[in-house]
Amino acid sequence: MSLLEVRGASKRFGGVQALAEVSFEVRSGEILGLIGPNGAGKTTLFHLIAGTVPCERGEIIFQGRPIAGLPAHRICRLGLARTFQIVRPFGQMTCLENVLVAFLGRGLDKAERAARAGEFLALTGLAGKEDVPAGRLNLIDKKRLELARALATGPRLLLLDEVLGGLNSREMAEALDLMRLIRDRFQVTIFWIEHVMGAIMRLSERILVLDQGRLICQGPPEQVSRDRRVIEAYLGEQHAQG
Amino acid sequence: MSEAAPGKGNLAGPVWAALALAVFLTFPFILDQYWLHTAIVGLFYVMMASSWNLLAGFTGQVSFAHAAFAGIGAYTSGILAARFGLPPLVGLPLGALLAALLGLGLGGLCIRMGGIYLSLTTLAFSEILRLVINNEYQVTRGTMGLKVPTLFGAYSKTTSFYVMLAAAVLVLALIRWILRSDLGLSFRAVQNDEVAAASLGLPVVRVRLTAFVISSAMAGLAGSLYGHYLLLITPHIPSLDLMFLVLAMTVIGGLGTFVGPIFGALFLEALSEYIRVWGEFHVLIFGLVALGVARFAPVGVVGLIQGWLAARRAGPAAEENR
Repeated sequence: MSLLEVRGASKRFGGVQALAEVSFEVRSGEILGLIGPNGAGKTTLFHLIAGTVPCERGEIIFQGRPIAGLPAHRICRLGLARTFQIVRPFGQMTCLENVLVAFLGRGLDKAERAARAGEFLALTGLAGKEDVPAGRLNLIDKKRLELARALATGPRLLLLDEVLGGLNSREMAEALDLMRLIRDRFQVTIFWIEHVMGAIMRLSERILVLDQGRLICQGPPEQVSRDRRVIEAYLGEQHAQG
Repeated sequence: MSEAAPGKGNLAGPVWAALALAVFLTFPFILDQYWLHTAIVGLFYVMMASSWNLLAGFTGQVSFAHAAFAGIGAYTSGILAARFGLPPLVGLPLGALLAALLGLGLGGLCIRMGGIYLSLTTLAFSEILRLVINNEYQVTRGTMGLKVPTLFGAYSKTTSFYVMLAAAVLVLALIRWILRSDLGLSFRAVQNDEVAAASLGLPVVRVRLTAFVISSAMAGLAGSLYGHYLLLITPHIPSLDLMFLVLAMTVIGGLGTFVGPIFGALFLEALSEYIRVWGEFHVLIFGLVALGVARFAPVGVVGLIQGWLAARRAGPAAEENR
């Protein structure tokens, strides 16, 4: 069953066609990867789906509801959360407060919110840093905080934009375990962008490939990694021929 | 901004507040009429600077219409009392209400634009209001000023002082409560990063508009009380002169801190009595000092002191950890 359906999404920034007629679906319960060379339009696609940047053309349907054109906060309330590639912590607020923002207007009492915020911080490896101002965290911890906040909004679909960058191999393994846990325990469908090719190929059940704003290939990792168009996009035409 | 964080059994704040209030309560007994007047005006500026700080310091919206909203409060209850004989005690909430409604209208118009456009639109609103007041001579008596009655009873500086003190305490308590509530958390989230706030489900425009309306209502209340104390309402209340004085008080005291604007307002009001001989130049001086503070110590005087105290408290602990 499709949780999210994108039909003909397009976005133009001035003279640049960032996305052209992109159509695909995200199936409920899957881990779907999104790859492509730099500037392919991956983050732009996340911006459109989450309402961070308005979608001008095309349809985006989430759980049977059209969401293209809705403001970002409404889309979040419908159960679609995201993290940012360039992290956006509330720098002058503590880690705990950062997560508490995600509970605002959801009718939980204060004690319950604080307890649950603490759980999400612990889950993402930020236990003990509740009272640290988010601006003082290192980049990896800021990414963990992004994930904790997004999870705290109680999403059905989570868009993760390059959360693994800068992790060592042990941390990477932990992060991948965490993603499986999020999908299995919280029943959250994951749609993620990642440049760490080994990780995204290992964990994703399906992969989408964007190149120059167009969706050039989709399918299981082993099929995508052999696809001629994908190799061309990454390595150039000569390698694909050779 | 640490003080806006939920306090954990920190009694220093309430103790200091109670001490300060006790000192203020004695003012009518220890100050002469001249300094009592200065204290009353100072309390008006405390309300103005603190409510402007709620908007500019905690949601990052630099509005130049704050004095204009004080003017709306003052002229609303003033005109209702002087022309229609409405008791000022009834006009007072009406003044605050009209300021809130106009805040809703102006905010709804320009908050989506944000940043510099919000500042420019509010500046224009302020000038439009000044022109209307100057030119609608028959209603407002323009620059001649509108004679208005006292809030209640016979004129007394002591009564006026206690009324102004009660209003200031009310406004400050309300601001303190807001800053510690969920609304305060959403204000700070929106100020820190509005894109992230929206992505977590916060309706950013509505949050900003809420701050604008609350802050405008407080300015309306302050302006109305001030008018009934002065007994003569002139376009000085909704003027940019007054606006920039409020701005200087907030910035010098400490933008985005709770105590900063209180300190800044009282300190600059008292100081301007000492340098009265310089005439209107004192506003220029304050403006220059505010510029310097904004450039070199954006946390203001109170922010600097708080940082220094925090460093001193953390100092010995840090030593032990080594």
